[in-house]
Amino acid sequence: MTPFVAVIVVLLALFGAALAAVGSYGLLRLRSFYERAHPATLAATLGATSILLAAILFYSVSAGRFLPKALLLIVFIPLVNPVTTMLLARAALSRDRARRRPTAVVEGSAEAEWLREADELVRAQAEAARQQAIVDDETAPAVATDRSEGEA
Amino acid sequence: MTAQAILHWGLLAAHGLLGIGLVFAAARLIRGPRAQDRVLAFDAVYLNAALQVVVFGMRAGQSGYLEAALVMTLLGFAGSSALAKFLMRGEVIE
Repeated sequence: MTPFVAVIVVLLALFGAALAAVGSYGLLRLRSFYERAHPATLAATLGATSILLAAILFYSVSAGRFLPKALLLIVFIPLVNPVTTMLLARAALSRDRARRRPTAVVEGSAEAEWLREADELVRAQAEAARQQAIVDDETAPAVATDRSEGEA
Repeated sequence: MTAQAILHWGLLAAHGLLGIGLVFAAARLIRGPRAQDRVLAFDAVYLNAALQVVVFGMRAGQSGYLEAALVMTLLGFAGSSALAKFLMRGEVIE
């Protein structure tokens, strides 16, 4: 194996590993579950693909012929991981909708903090919908009436 | 610098980065706060571990490690989808 090929293999592997580390850091750092669902896919798609491309290159060069064994993983991981993430997000949504019992929540705990954030989000969404409805009401007649006819 | 040395140190650095990712995901797994966060962190943990196995196979120069990584991702997929199903319905098999 020439040093040139080794450098390419190492760069691909380092890029993938760095993406996996950044994705896990996002998992630790972001605040709500729905935000945390996003960085987890970073490692699953581009990170895994990059590391496995490095593996294909490494094994092919060191065997002297094309060895596409890692292609199986390149197809499998990015196909399967978003499916689990989506299943999990739907499960979390249905759990959040089912959860309307404020009696069991301890004041000041992480649960109470989370519920407060969820309530704020719902209120902000309702407010945005109301503002949008006002804007729609204001613009609708202006669009409907033909101005040139009125001026003439 | 020979190709062997480049591969050795570069893949060792990749090991370190994947290990850092593993530590972050494990911290989220422990901290929670809710069940879906833990399942998401478990997803990240098994994926990082499978990539570690791939990098280790490259360092060892044997392609048999790729099958091990494939089995890890398969079992991890089965586990986390069963957990997601459990969180959604309260039972795995209806």
